[in-house]
Parts: sequence; structure tokens; C-alpha cells
Amino acid sequence: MVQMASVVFAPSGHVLSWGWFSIELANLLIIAAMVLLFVVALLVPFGRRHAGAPVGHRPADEGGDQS
Amino acid sequence: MSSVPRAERVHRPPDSWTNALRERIVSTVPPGQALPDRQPVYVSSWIYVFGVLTLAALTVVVATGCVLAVGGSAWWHVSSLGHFVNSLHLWSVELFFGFMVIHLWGKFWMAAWRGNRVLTWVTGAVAFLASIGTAFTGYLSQSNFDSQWISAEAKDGINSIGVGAWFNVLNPGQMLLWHVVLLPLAVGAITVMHVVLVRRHGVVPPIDAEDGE
Ligand code: HEM
Repeated sequence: MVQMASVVFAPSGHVLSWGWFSIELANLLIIAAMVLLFVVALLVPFGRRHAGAPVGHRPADEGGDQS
Repeated sequence: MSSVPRAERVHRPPDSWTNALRERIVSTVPPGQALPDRQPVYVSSWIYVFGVLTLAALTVVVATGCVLAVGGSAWWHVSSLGHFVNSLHLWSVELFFGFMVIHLWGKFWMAAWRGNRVLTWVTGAVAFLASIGTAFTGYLSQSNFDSQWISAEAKDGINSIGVGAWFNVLNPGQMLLWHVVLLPLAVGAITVMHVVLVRRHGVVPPIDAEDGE
């Protein structure tokens, strides 16, 4: 029985185990990439105007879209 | 009210449902806030982009899903174009969930439910749950041995919570219809509510700037 099960599960990827906790490598890598992306989103400055600069210098309120 | 022209009052009495509905629609979002072209300076961070990235991924998911529905399972299993659209559908779902979870982390750590924004958080959470249901029924709709295997595993879980008679994961027709009709409608409706609520309340100020609220 045990042998059959291991045959059935053989094609699934590398599984990492710490005691009761186990996770497939691919899933762990994806979670790591998501955490990394989260941190990058917090640290990388956004756009041309950064913190401290005034919000401003757009055309006046009406008709702002002239691109 | 006295400035309303007389004729207007005659044609549209204030207690008509048309009036009430119009008032309701107009007052749902403050004037000019439905599609604003300016945001407070604290919104200038990549973390605020993840909501709209989620929305963009969802758009691709729905569009490619519609193409799969036109072609049908025989098409997406055998033709190379079918494989390609199937892959677009799968990978846009992967991005959708990745973006959504990073969006969720961002909103969690900025406690974005502050200032009467509880419903925004709750509709987000419900969108997350409904999306998981949509993804799971999607796995059951592949029409291959994988979906057959998954449904045989899932039936025990569904039966253990007592709903197997109504939600039968071994019934591919039922699962396909949940996947392509009921759950997408639910995800779409809750997403619209979520985004309207965001526009209604405006973007939440950072925690250390809260007295500006
Ligand atoms: C279908 C999935 C979702 C879509 C398309 C979506 C979309 C958006 C968009 C476009 C915004 C505008 C601001 C921004 O992006 O930062 C937003 C804000 C927000 N989202 Fe989501 N979201 C989704 C899921 C979630 C989930 C799972 C949660 C958390 C449980 C959540 C919580 C929030 C909150 C609290 C805000 C308000 C933030 C504020 O007022 O500053 N959303 N969402």
C-alpha cells in the first residue's frame, strides 16, 4: 500500500520537511517571491515625484488630460 | 429646494423611485471622486498599485475564460491556439492571486479598515473567498484526469461538511456551471462593490497621519 502511494505521488515535485511541517519547493519559492515583491513595493520609489515634493504642477483642474 | 424650477417639480415628484434611485447613485461617491485624476501624496507608492494590478489580472482572466467558453473543451485540449488561451487563463489566475494576496498584506499592515472602511475590507475578504471557490471549480472543469482525481479527493471534504448533495464535486456539469456562471458573477459583483467603496471613502491616510481624516 505504502509503495503504491509513493508510486502515485512520485511525479509531484521536491517536498521539504521540517518535523510536522512540509511544503513543496515550488510553493515555497513562490511564497518567497511574493514576500520579496511585497518588500520591493514598499522600498522602491514610485514615479517621478517622490515623498516631500509637492503633489502639484498639473494643469488646472478642468481639462487636465492633454496627453 | 426652493431653487428647483417649478416645472421640474411637476414632472419629477420627489417621492418617485426614479428620483430616489438617482439620488442614491449620485450620492454613493462624492462628486468628482468616481474617476479622480489626483490622489494624496502618500498614495505615491508601489504598494497602492496592487489593487489595480489585481483588477487588470481579473480582466484578463474573464476575457480568456470567455474565449475558452466559445471554443469548448475539445478545442482547448487539442489545438495549439486552444492550449495557448488555456495557458493565458491559468497564468492570469496565478497573477491575480499573487497580486491579490500582496494587496491584502499591504492593506493589513496599513490597517486600511480605519475610518469607516470596514466594508471595504470585508468585501475584499469575501472577494478572496469567492475567488478561491472559482479557482477550485476551475480545477474541476479542466475535463482531464487531473480534474477527475481532484474531484474524487474533494468529495470527501465536501461530504464531511454535509453539502455534498447540493454541491456535488463529482458532477462536472454542475461544477462547470458554478465556475463559468455563478461564481464569476459573485466575484464580479463583489469586486464592483469593493472598488465603489474605495472611491466612496477615499484612500486611507497612513497610520501616523490619522488626524487628517
Ligand atoms: C478581487 C480582488 C480585489 C480587487 C480587484 C481589489 C481592488 C482594489 C483596488 C483597485 C483598491 C484601490 C486602492 C489600492 O489598490 O490600494 C482596493 C483597496 C482596498 N482593498 Fe482591495 N481588491 C481585491 C481584494 C482585496 C482583499 C482580499 C482585501 C483584504 C481582505 C482587500 C482590501 C482592501 C482595502 C481595505 C482597500 C482600501 C484601502 C484604502 O482605503 O486605502 N482587497 N482594492
